[in-house]
Amino acid sequence: MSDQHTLLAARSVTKTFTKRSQTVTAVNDVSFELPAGGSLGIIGESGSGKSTLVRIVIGLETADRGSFLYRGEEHKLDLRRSRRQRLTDARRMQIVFQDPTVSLDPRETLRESLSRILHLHYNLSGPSAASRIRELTGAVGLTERQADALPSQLSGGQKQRVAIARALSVEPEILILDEAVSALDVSVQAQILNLLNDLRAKLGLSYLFVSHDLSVVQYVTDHAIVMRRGQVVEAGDTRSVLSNPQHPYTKLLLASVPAPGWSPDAAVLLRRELEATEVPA
Amino acid sequence: MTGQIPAADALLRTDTTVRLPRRDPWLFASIGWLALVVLIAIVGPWIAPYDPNTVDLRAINAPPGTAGHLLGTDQLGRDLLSRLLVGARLTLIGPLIVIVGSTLLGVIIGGVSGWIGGWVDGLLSRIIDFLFAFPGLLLAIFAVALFGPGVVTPAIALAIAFTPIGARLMRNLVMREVRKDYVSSLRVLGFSGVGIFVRHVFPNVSAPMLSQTVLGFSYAVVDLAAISYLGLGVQPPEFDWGLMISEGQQSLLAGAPWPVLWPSIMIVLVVIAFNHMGEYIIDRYQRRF
Amino acid sequence: MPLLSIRGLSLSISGRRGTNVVLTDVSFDVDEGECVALVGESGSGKSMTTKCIVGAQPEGSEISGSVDFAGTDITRASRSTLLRMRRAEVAMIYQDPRSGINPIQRVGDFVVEAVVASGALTQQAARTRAIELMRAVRLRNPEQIMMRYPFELSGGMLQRVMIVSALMGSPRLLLCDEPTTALDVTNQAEVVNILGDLQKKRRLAMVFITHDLDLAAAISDRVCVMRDGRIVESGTTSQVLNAPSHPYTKALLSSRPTLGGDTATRLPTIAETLAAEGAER
Repeated sequence: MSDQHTLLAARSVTKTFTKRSQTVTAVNDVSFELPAGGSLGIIGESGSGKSTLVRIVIGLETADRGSFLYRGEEHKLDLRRSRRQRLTDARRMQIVFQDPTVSLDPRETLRESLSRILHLHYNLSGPSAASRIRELTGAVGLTERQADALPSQLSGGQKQRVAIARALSVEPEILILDEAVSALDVSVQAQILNLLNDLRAKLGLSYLFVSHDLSVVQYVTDHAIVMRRGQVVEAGDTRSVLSNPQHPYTKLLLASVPAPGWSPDAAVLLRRELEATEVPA
Repeated sequence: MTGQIPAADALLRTDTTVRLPRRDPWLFASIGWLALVVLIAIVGPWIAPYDPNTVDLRAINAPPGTAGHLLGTDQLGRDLLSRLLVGARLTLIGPLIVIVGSTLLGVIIGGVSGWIGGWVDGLLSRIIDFLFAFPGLLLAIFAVALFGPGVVTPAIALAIAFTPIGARLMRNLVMREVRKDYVSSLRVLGFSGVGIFVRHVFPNVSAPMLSQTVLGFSYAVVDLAAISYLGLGVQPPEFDWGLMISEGQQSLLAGAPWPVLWPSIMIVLVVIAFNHMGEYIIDRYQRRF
Repeated sequence: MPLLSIRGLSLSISGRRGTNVVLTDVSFDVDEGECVALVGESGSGKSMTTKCIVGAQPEGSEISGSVDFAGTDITRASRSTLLRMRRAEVAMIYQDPRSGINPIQRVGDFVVEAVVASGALTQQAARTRAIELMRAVRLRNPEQIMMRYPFELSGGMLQRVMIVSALMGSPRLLLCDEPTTALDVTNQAEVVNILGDLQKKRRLAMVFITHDLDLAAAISDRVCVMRDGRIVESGTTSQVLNAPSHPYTKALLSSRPTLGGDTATRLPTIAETLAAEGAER
């Protein structure tokens, strides 16, 4: 279903932070390609730079070096954009964050949120807005009553559905999921993962899926890059990366995932080996 | 189908919060009392039984209940009830100026500081730190020394002295909100910074700010009463409750506490009422989230 | 004679909105040197069970049944008995090490504080023991770490510090409430390995709480699966994982995406599996 045309490409993106005379290179010469209709996993633990990378992609941070190509054309994300540019960018990419308790305005219901968005982008109001809201609410598996609830009245999984509905309301081509299922219970996680796969198939979306959870990444993505300390240490199609890892860090990650019959001993050994070859952080 | 919060989990999340009765009888008492005082401030001069400045040397320091004087008279025979009723207006106008002024300045300075951050925040925070160094009362006295006594001069000085508290609170609240992902999400969705601030951030920080404003009113009442007491505020023949206390000292020494007692009680009750309201607002806000 | 024996433990909390039954008829044993895992989703009652073991159930709750620790019934123990027990016999480590530690106190002071205050060890002896334990949890340069403040240590290191502080009093039972959930997966493997080691070497009885069945399998001898305040299945680890009998256990096992698993089919949600098994939701 996915045509191999590259929708989004990152080229040598670099970002450093200086904090009290200490320079940290959060993202170091990172490149990746997201094909149209594809799903790219960004795998890493804390400190890997994956969240910074994604914030640069979505325009919340600016890179120091490097560039992005959107459908082959340069995609500049200026923090100070014109209103028109802001709206155009919004319809290219949206993001769903990890913790819906802070990614949703606690005083706003889904219906109110969607009304504002639909008014801003499409100048919709009244019955046409209402029907679109109904459509979006249903698409993420929420009821009308839940659309009128405040976030504090919803469960974690329901809140995350609200966040997804909000992101989908502007019909983006790319949806970035930043650890979007990490805070959810296993059973709820399964529901959201199913939903994400369904939406991708139905709406032809492309995903950038950030996660530290390898099994989840395998379930939702076609390709993946593995990040460690700001750099990409391995890349390829998800199945190969996870079944036949080349880089010692990827091997360590895999060995660290609990699975039937798993023991942490192998991971501990791999970690020693890895640390022996690296400069301490 | 979509998961529900397990009952045990929901209860566990609430069992450490302070249980405040939803219908707080003292809250209604406070609001009622303050409404009454505001009413008196507005219609006082019309309902006062006597002209508050009428001197009657035959009834000096009369105790309450003496013919025609419900609350007694002061050292010049002036009716205390009338003076209380008429004095309310000037007693409250000063604090009003203080609060409106300091809140406006505080919200603007703190809001800009917290929202923009960076060097703007750095500069404004240093200014606020500088203002913090001036105790309100001292600044007011200094202002009076420069510009003369009255109701307005000390009030403006106090407004400036009170600003740092509100500004710092506003700044911290705004910074905390700005860090939350919902602000980022709204930006990514295409909303403008101003729109996000006005429609999302500000409503989420208004409860603590409101509480601060309400509490501030009571501090202003006390500070301005002290200013009047010192003779630096409203000047005779005008008067407020603070000046009444000052003038009533002689009566106190002469064994008649009434001229000092009534205005003192009024001030204390007003302060308690404002304090209670302010605390209630903060408690409700903390419980909701 | 088991070290810890819980029989028919039930707990209900009365709040403004009525009475909530949090635990119903929970029973299990822990022998000396044995590790029992409590596995369940959030709200299943696993944390509350451990609170009852140390007598820390919330005020105003009604408890019935018995919690027998080395001959003493905790549910009926006096305050002084509970204090003595918490100091010397039972220790607990939590999910978030940062919230359980005083940020303005040096790590070394924090670790020796309790055991010195109770008079069990002198300051000198306590510090020696602390350093020895830090080596046991594989912290490098323990003397230096003793001088550090919590903010200077990473999450993984801090959790190991918490383990040290828990073991200072030489407890016979260690309660671990999701100790690795907040850690990176590579750190998790390390900490689980360390805990397993300590447990075997010191013949520590352990109760390990987690939502991850595979993780539980790596460290425990027996598993109790909890749901809505009840134990729905218990048995040896291999029994429960390889031949689960209760529909809920089966549902938990199958709703998790696994590495190398089939990604083309939908993940069965817990509800779907339970319905398929014919059990009530």
